[in-house]
Amino acid sequence: MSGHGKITLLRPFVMRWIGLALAVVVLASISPAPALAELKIDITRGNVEPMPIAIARFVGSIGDSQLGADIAAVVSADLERSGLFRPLDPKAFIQKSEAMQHQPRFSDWRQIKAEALVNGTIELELDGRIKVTFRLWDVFAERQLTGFLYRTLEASWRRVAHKIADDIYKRITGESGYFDTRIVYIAEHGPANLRIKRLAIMDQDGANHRFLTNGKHLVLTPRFSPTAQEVTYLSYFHDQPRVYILDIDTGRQEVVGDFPNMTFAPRFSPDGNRIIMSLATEGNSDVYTMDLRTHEIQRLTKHSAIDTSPSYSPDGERIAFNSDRGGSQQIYVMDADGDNPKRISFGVGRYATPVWSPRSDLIAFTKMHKDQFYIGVMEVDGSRERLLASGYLVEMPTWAPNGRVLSFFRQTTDGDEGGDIKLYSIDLTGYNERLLVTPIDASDPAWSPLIP
Amino acid sequence: MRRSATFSAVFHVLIVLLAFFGLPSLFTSDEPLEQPIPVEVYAVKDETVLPPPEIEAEPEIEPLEEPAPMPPEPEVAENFTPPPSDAVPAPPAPPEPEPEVVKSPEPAPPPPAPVLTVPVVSEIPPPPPPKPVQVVKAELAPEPKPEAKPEPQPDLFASLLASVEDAAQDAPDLEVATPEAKAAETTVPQTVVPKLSDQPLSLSVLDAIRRQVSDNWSLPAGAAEAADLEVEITIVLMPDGVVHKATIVDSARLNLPGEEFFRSMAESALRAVQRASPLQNLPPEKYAQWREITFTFRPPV
Repeated sequence: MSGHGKITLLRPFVMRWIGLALAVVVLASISPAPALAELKIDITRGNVEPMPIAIARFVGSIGDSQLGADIAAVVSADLERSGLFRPLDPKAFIQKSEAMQHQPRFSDWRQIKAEALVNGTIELELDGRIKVTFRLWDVFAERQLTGFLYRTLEASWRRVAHKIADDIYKRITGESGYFDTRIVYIAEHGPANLRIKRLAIMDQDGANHRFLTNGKHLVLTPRFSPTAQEVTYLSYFHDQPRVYILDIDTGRQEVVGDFPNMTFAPRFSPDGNRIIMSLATEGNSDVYTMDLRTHEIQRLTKHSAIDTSPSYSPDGERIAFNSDRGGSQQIYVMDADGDNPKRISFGVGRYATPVWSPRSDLIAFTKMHKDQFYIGVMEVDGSRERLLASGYLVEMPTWAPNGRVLSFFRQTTDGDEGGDIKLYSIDLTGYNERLLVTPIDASDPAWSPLIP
Repeated sequence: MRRSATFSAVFHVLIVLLAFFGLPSLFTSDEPLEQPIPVEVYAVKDETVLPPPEIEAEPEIEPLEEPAPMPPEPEVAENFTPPPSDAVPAPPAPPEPEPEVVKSPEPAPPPPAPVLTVPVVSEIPPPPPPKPVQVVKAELAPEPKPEAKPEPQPDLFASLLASVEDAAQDAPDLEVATPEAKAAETTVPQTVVPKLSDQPLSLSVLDAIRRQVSDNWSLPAGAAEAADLEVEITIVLMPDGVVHKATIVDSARLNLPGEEFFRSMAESALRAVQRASPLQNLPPEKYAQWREITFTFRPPV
């Protein structure tokens, strides 16, 4: 009896249970309709491909057509040499430069797969100067990205072209460019025992090359000033190493001082007021700074080891230098007043010529290991060391002002003779190694800052 | 005694069924968005897993015509009306884009190809011929229950679920779910149609989208602070895969001084999306799911 009553009581309860269970099973067996309004996808992979860019001939008044083509050609060459752009062949252009008075017909440019377009105009002014305007267009978005106007002497048209290339580079990549710069180096020729070395300067694309010294005296290791268009270099005068400062624009030379036993020229401090160098006295080489105005010398390292090849950081707070106080040639970093020297290089091999990047994040160096030379970069604390170039002899890295490209010289071995010595530039990623064309052999490059 | 025996039998059957079909999973986990490295070219499929479809006999369709079309429509219609009104001002009536979609060239695999006629069905009440039946079978295969269920089940369900409503269950879902459940049990084509488009996008479709955009993304190489740069781009697609609108999510950051690297990364991401347009191999019947996509471009460290 009671069982009967229990069952009647239980029935709706049990029915609910069964219903619940079955409903749960039924519900779960149906995939719920996803109420996705938006799909989210991560893209973590891309390719590193140069950007196709169309640089149209700059148009102007009659008589400037050649200049327009020249400017476009220089801009193209600069962008192509950076490895990040691929200028398209002008023969493939559909719309002519003259037709782009107000706005380009973007569908024409999309058809040749250009992603960016550059066009411009040149005008001759009454006082003989030229006025150059250019515009950079985004072909997909159909809008102008940037545009500038330059006014200068007609003879400086190359500099305008380089500045335009810098503007384009900066707008597209976000980094400042390095095209309106010069490279100073040692041009050498002759047999190994009678080598004639001359100081030479050229634009970073190899144009406007000229010699600064006549080769009578040995010249070594030129360095650019970060603030003025000045170069220091080492020259032997009556067999004594002497440091000179040369003003590039005026050609004026000044003697900084006679420094016996010096092997590397000094480097400038970032504010351009001091030079830092290594001097050898009584067989010990140490790092000194000298104020250029007062000629006052201050000693920074006081160690019995050889401390040489110093380089300032871009903020002037720290100095990287080469020392063998640890037993072998390694790179150290210390404060600008000489305190806290700390070793940062710990790999195999010997390290030399540290150069601090203008972007402050890296130090370039030369490395020697097992009869092979390398150019590499490492972080300021010594981590993430990467080797960019190697060779029988590669040395003396110098940074372009945007801290993205390095230049160095390489000597190839040619049997007993010792082969060509040439200048090369290489990108920070290790790709895009390019030969810098020089009339004769070249070594010891120094890259100028952006010319104002 | 008889009642208890009945209950005992019912519970035993229930337990046997659970043991046979497995516990229901109440939480569907997100598909892990891994990146399979494409080694060979493969065609985009509509479902991630596609066993060979079996064709059923026609007569099954008729008896269940009536209950089916009504409930799915409100649900599906919600999904389908926004795109025509937003995307292009030109098409006058919603049904029009759909047939165009059908006629456009369809992806490779032959068995599911006829499936593409299916989305039209949601707008047109009469059910299509047997071809969609293939879909039915294929689709239901991964599911634990359907094919084995005989027809009497629906009655049990109806009565059970009626009582379940009393027990204060989530009523609207169930009402929608019921006919779908019935349909799932009884292999009816037209109710399965919205189910296909409600299925999440198959992994191969997501990967096809990801691959097409990745291939067109030219990374600005060697940029400083590249590790922190992450750009989100939202795109709105037309039914044929053409990118109709692409916007940068954090556009206020673009013109701030010092954010030049972010700007160049954002512009390279925009260019990647525009170069990848029109996106290929997207299932038109799932347009509602891939109409709006937000890409997060993260440069590899």
